Amino acid sequence: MSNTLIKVEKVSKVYGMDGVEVHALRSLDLDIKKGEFTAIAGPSGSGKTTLLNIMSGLDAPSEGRVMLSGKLISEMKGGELSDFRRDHIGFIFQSYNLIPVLSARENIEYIMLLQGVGENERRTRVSEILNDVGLEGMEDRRPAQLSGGQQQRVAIARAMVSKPDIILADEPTANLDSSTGASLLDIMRELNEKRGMTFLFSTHDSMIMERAKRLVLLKDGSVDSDEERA
Amino acid sequence: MIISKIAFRNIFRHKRRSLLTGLMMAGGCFLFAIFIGMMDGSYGLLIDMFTRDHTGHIQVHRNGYLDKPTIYKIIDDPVALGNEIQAVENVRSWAPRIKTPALSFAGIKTSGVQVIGIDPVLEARTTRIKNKIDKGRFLSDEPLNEIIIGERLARVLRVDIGDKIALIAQGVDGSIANDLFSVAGITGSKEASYGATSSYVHIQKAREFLSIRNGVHEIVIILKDHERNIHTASLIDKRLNNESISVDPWQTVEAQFYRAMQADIKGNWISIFIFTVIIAIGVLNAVLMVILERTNEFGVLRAIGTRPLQIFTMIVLETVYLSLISIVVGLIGGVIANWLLSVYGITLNEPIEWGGFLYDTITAKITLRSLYIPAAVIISTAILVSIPPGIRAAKITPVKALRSA
Ligand SMILES: Nc1ncnc2c1ncn2[C@@H]1O[C@H](COP(=O)(O)OP(=O)(O)OP(=O)(O)O)[C@@H](O)[C@H]1O
Ligand SMILES: [Mg+2]
Repeated sequence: MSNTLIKVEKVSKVYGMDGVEVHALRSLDLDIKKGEFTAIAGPSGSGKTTLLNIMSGLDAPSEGRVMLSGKLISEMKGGELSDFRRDHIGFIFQSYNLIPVLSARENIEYIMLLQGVGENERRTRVSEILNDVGLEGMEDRRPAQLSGGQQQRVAIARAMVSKPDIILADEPTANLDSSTGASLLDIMRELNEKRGMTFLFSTHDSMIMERAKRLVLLKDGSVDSDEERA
Repeated sequence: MIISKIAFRNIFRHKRRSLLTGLMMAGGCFLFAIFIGMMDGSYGLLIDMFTRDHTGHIQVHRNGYLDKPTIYKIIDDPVALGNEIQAVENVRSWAPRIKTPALSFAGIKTSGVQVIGIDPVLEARTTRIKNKIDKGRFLSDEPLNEIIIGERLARVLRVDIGDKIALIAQGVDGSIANDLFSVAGITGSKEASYGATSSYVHIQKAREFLSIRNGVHEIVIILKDHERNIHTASLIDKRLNNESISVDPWQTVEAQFYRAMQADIKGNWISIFIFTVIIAIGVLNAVLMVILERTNEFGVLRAIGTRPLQIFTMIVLETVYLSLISIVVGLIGGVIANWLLSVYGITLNEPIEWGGFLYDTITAKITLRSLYIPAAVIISTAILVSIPPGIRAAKITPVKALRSA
């Protein structure tokens, strides 16, 4: 299976609302390869969130199919899907990201605890990733004691540490000021280069788009342009 | 488990709400503990008074005596029976009795009485009649023409210690029984209607009075542990192995009193049930609020791979943990209150009459029941009430939850 990680084939999503049909995605095709650092951009309502949700199995397509790591994720259900997400996909959200009653360290450990990763292994991985995202010394703080940028760095660490196939991020910088957002992107890119982690994120912000290696532009639920960048 | 850690810490997120919910559960637990403690204490005292003063824990009669007491239903050879009874496990002591209704006269005053012939030595070992004498003394060990009467009867007949009372009844041989007795003691000025006309004479004198040669009408038994009296009654019945004799626990002997008590207890359980419903509604409300507020959070947890069952567990555990804390607090309070009540009691200004007895103190008892029943009620309420919201939280779909952010 070469090195294609996600294969989106002819995916459509139709929302029925008060009898009015909204075509959020129209027969969209997209391939994501291992090691990519891809941004999905496009105007509001162009279908970015819908696409990411379908790619991660959070939502089901109305038509078409999605393969992730060789598995038909668009057909999975229930506990199987839950476990698949837990083991193969890392998530970073715009907000409501961290578990407020857990410390930064515990948040980072959460998925590994669900997976049943041993204590020693957890400890090593956490201290490594804390160093990577520049949060040493803050691991015992609760989310409320961290700035927005620091919280998102914990979120990156949480997504990274369970060694998923890909990290999906829907507008990870939307709640941050642009310089904080830019430095967050730098951390993600560094992890992409150093560790080979595949990232796929959506954004509005042109400064963020500039940092992507590949930029996919959506318009009205279809791919408008798709270009590799330096 | 990380899920239970989150559940526990979630309690402290909305401190005020948790405090209120917890106080409600703790308060309920506290109330139930006192309720049961008072029930056990008061009914325990009631049963104790009732049985130790009058009926004993178990009674033995000739068949049919309880339904229709007549002087002809006589148990023969009471001493042999008594020795058999004494040999049964859990039996403390026994006492024989002769009983007959009679008419009493003193001067121009007259009144119906229940004459009870007792063995002063065995009776003193068995019931507390001896201790209830307020004036005068108990019967002598030798058979003398002495009588102990209740304070009410003394008032009606206008007699005092040393005065003579004439008794008239019918003997078993059909003869008219009559004799003169002098008042040796007067019992129970505190007593209410029950046993107000009971008058005690020496069993030998009662036999002579009724022309009974040897037998008795009743054997009263006191046990070491009265809670087991029904079981012990059947043991005695088996040992005596006599078709013509029936062995009855006090619940049968005083069925009316027992039913009244049961009805009273039932009323208390109904109150506890109503309280529980109120608490359940309060807790349910709090849990539902939690679900509404944390929808987005559950969405994130689901998205990153938490299973629905784990979300459900988180909700139920949070409520269970809070209820456990509440139970500890409530029970500590309940035990202290029950202990204080058992030591000091609450003295009523006006004694109340219940089942023919007068009560002037409300008391309680720390029983195992008063601990585990409130705990079980509260914890099962907590679990029950958190199940529907837990299911609701488990069903949250991440997409919807995240959209609503
Ligand atoms: N649950 C829903 N029900 C009905 N319509 C929906 C629903 N979710 C999304 N849509 C519609 O689908 C289209 C695509 O929405 P989507 O959220 O994917 O856009 P987006 O590119 O993420 O926009 P934004 O940049 O504002 O986040 C929009 O027209 C939106 O109104
Ligand atoms: Mg969006």
